[in-house]
Amino acid sequence: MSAAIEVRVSAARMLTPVVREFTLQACAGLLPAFSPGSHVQVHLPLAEGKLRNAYSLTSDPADIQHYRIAVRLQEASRGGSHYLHRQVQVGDTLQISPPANLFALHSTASLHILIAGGIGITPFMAYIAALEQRKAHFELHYLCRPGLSDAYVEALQQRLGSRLHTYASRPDLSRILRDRPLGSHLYTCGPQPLLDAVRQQAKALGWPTGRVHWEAFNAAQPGQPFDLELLRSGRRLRVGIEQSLLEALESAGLQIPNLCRGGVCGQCMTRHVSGDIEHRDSFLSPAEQADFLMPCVSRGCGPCVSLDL
Amino acid sequence: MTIQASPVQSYRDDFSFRNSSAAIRRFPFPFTEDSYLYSVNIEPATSRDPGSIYQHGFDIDEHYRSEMAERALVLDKDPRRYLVLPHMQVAAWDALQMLMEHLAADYPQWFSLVREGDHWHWRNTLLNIDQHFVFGDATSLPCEPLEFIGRQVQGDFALLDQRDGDLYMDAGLVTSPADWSLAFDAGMSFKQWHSPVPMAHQMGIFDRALKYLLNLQVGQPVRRLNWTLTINPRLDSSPETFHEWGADRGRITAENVGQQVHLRVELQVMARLPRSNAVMFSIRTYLISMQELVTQSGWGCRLHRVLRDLPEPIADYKGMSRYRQTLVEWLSRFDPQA
Amino acid sequence: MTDRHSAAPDRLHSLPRYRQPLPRESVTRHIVVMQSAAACSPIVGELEQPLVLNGESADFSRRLHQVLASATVGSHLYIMGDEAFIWRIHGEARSAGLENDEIDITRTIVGARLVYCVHCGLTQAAGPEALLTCIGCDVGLEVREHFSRRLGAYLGVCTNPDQPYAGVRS
Repeated sequence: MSAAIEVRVSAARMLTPVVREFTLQACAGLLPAFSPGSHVQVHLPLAEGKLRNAYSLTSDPADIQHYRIAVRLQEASRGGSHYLHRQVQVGDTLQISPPANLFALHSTASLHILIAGGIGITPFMAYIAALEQRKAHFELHYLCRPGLSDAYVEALQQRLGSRLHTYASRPDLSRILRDRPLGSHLYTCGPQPLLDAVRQQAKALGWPTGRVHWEAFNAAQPGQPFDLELLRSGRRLRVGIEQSLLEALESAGLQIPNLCRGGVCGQCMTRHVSGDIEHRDSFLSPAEQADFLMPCVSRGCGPCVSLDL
Repeated sequence: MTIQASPVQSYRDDFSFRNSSAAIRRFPFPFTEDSYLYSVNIEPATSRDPGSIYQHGFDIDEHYRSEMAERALVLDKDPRRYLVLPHMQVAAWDALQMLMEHLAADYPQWFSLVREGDHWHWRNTLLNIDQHFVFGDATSLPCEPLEFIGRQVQGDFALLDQRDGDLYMDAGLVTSPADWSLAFDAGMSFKQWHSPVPMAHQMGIFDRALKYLLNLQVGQPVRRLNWTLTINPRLDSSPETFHEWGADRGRITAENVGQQVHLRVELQVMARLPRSNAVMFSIRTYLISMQELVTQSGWGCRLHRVLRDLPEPIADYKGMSRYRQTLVEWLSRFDPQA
Repeated sequence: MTDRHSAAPDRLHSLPRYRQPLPRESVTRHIVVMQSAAACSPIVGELEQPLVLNGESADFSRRLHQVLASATVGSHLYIMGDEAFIWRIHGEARSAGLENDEIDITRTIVGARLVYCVHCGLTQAAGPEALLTCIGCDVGLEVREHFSRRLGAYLGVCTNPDQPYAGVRS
């Protein structure tokens, strides 16, 4: 795993009452170049423990003087978005992971159909910059509540013209997805119900799964505290209410491979040996869950969990 | 290090290629045991052992001028050795950037890169190249970006597009292959282009390797070594020219083994290209004759045992069937237990 | 991300897999392209309202081009014939934007296939024989068990480097 990058918040602005955009510059050296759809993990030093949340890079990949992320204030959360909204000021420094991409553009598509819900617009901001540079054909469908979850909508209207379609409530997805030319690819990002509806409608209309790309903004959710036993080292840890199992391991100095922090990419897969597990991931099959868990989102639901670590 | 100036040595016809003693000592002898087995022998490509081939991301050695002259010969004669499918332009520029940045940082005595926004100025004093160009604009270069930089770096390059949970060989500049054809393999997926390799598929080697490569991250390249044998220091041992060099395998005798049989080792580096999300697969080839090789303590003995015990399908695939016995017998004198 | 793919079966991975088309749900348009009436597979009878093109009809090329240009996502293509025909059509379908998993290939006529001569770069018609002489450069070739979907052809490499032009008997 590579080292965290220290960045300075060079600007911050509210895009809507619940969405705050940060501009980040490297404290030293250059920021790594990235591909559209990439995200970074922001390290959040909360009083209760260190959290890491993943945010899509919204900035133009061709311009690596700075990165931009846009954070939606989540009411029922562990406090990461609250911290970013309330505590972080211009001039502060943050640690972020280098960019990683779990939601890349399909290189041979001849038409890119983008469907964004609310804060799901963020990866598409980087997409659009790159697609325009490559002179690719695309259209953006943006489901957003005016004045609340419609970040960037004015800039998009200016830039995209008729390629942008906005909706205040969920549109008829079958109209968006039917009769599309061969070579079309579909990308969707936003709340889980939207993702599920898009994927279901695409399937019903005969879209092969290889043409449908999605990114969910899952994050760890709070849960009951529990003890952790690491069988190989004999260490015992405590996982707090707001802390994910992965974060507890990281706080104790363990390095577990990870990318998405949301239970979808499979990187942090860890063998569990005993203790009741509440599986909250979207990666493992039920058979696999008998032996493995994804510590970024899943938790123990009894007093103690032992891991093969 | 001194780069061979002139005359350049040749990798064809009279085969004047020779390694200096420094090059021999530096040669990446790939065998850590007395037998060879396939493995996913990937390690992080971090800088180590100053002076070795592992110190820099892209290694320049004493053969630079000779090898670039050879590359030019191959490309001029057979343009099929360079191919970039239309959707790989971003990846090609990514590759140009990665190579220029590394060369300018690691060998500032020969290469320099000065950038003002998109206006780049590249200098290569070894080949007398002084080029101003606009990054992203192929018309500002004398040829397409992958070819432009590829003609200035030792080693072959394949650019792999990542899509559909797989890697596709959709671009490349390949003038020194160990018997595979870019023109034929272009467009293939990871397992498809590895189709001819015996035994490894059943061992799950390619499943694991593919999974690993799909998760390559920017700034964290990995590398591995691959090896085979070549008759004469022929860099261009391609299928395209096989009808010209294939007969050499039938002409090995006890008298000419030392001079003609070469161990061919590939340092393969795999790196994530940042803007395109593609994977660069670079293949840097090192050649050493048997007579050069046995000057290094222990190498002759180990090579003897590896080749003696190599499973036949692997030996066949590596093309050594016709001369294997002669070679093993020749090497046996370096093995105290033989 | 897209859903995880299951592991491919253990075989020579580059070789084409010809098989009877599998039943598929939710296809909005079945497009059948057969080399000739004789090449038709019985499965065609089970498809719902397929659009059928016959390679032997007079304006086949024009019709094929038109159908591919106006086809939409949700279409599925079925190609039936010999290997040479299948891959010619496959190439056109890919250029039109169809993905590999949207195309079913069924070899209903055995015989003709394409071979790529790696020495001169010529892709040429060939029969099922393991050896042939390249019509472009006269090198005697062996046809390897290695296939390129992009070229629709098997790899042909000099079979006897000691006598590359000796001519081969198949």
